[in-house]
Amino acid sequence: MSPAPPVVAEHLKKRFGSVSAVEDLSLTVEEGKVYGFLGPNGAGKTTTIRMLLGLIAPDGGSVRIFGHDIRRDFKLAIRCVGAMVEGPAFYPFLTAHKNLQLFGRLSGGVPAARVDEILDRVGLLRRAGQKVGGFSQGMRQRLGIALAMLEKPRLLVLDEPTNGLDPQGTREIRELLRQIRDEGETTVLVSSHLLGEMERICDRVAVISQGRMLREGSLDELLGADDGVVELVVEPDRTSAAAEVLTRRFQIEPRRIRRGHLELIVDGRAGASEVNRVLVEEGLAVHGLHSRRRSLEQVFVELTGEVSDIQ
Amino acid sequence: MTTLLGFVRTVARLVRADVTKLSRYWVVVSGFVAIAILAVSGMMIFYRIEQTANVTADSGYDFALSVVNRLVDVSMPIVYVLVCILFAIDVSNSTVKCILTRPVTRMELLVSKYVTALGMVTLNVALLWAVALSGGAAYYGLGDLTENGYVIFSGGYVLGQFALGTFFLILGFASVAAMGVAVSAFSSTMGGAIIIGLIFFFVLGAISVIPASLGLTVSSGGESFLLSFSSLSLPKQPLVPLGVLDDLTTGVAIESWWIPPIQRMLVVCGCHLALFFTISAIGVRKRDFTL
Ligand SMILES: Nc1ncnc2c1ncn2[C@@H]1O[C@H](COP(=O)(O)OP(=O)(O)O)[C@@H](O)[C@H]1O
Ligand SMILES: [Mg+2]
Repeated sequence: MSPAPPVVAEHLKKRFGSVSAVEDLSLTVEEGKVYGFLGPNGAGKTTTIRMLLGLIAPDGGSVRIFGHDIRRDFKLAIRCVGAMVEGPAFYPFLTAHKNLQLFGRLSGGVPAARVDEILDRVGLLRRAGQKVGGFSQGMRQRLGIALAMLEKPRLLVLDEPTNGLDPQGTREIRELLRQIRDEGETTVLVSSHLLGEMERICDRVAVISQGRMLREGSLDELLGADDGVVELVVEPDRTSAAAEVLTRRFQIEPRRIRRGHLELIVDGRAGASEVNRVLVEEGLAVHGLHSRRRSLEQVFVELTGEVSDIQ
Repeated sequence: MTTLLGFVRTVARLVRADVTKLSRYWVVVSGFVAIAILAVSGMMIFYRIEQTANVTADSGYDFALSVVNRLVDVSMPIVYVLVCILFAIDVSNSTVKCILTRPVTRMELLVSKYVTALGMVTLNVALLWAVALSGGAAYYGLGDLTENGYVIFSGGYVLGQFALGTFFLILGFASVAAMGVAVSAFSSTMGGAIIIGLIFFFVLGAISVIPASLGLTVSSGGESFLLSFSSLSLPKQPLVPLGVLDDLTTGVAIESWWIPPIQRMLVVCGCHLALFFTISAIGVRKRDFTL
């Protein structure tokens, strides 16, 4: 029997009054992967995560964490998990070190050395003795991640870990997640409303909107879904000449034309090199010809047809 | 059996975490400092009054008992306010979600708050006894209880009876504290918990639903009477356990603690405890805690 996957959620449903926050959502997170859970604000990411962690009861569906049902075998399931849900939370009147120690105590106690180690890892060791009340948003966020990682969980669940951080802070957290992934001991489920931000570190992503799963798959599956979109860069004043050559020799209508840039669909790579050869033959200097991967943002816009709410 | 053991262990961990955090929280620390100051100054004032009125206590025990009897009702509202924030402190800081994503169930969390509340009530009463007995020892001495040179009761016996009385007293106050936890279990902010808690405290005190005599015991002309905190003068449930101790220091032995007034108090307090626990259990089970 293969080991149970870190997260198997089936047909999750949750309503708040008349608002349906999550509708028939199923997902499986495989061991050792970074799984991105992406969607705009209000998509139902936090609600889903709260159901995964047993913080709220779903109206329907089931959750298994490493094979343990989160409602029936809560303690067994949750022991494998470290989580930060909807922002960090600490006692402002206690120091960073004391806060971590206090929460560590709830599952039996964590050595002070481990607390220092994890504080060092998120770059807060120098602040260990300071009260959390005086911490900046970024420091709290990092402390929240430290708390989630404190007991070396097999599954790390981070709900919008980069929320409210500046680009530098965001980079640091991305770097941290990349390190965790490379160590390969922890499976990570990370949510974000910044679609572009997470695509660089996720192995798999789920895109949700209005409580429904829009798309789920590996990054290649999602981003490479329209192979063959090629961007062609030529001399700006030869743009129309290039378009004319494409139409005449290949019967290709460029999808979009800007000065010096043409976007077209060719059939695989051979097609691209053929385009290149013919253009040069026709006396047009080709400055660039590259297949253009879509960003998650674009995937999202295509899936929903909406642009609002995404940054 | 193993589940019960696991339950107890988790509750113990939660209580320990509560003690760590509360002993570093200025509101709680100042509350107990206030109780200590109240106890010391109250004890000294009481001695001064006795001196001016030319009444002296029969013994250090007698003095200590009167001090505790007078101060316990004054300190109780302070402890009660601190109990009211027990749950609210975790909800208002959102730390409740960090606790509940550890191997801790909601029921264990709730029970741990009751245990912590009981600890706070006990600490309060213990603090008062410590101060009162120190005063009694300093002013009158605490040896064996004698009359005309004959030993009536040994010091150990008197202290033992005091301890028994304190035990029953704590049970009475525990049911008041239970109300505080119940209010706290429904609150989201500490301010709200304290305000709602105090409203319940005084209203229920006024209609004599909560058992302890929540007021100030004063004596005048040898008669001691209760100045209730509430203005509605419905019959009050007096501090039964301390009442039982009243005659001990004059040489009347306590034959039995299992007397009807104590039994009645235990039944009333037991019902309160069950009621408040049920209410708070429903609240904690149903609540979403993420606001
Ligand atoms: N406790 C709650 N009570 C009522 N509505 C809620 C509650 N939590 C979430 N919602 C609603 O559910 C939807 C999804 O919210 P949420 O899961 O927080 O989204 P996300 O985390 O993706 O931004 C939103 O419309 C939100 O208003
Ligand atoms: Mg959210």
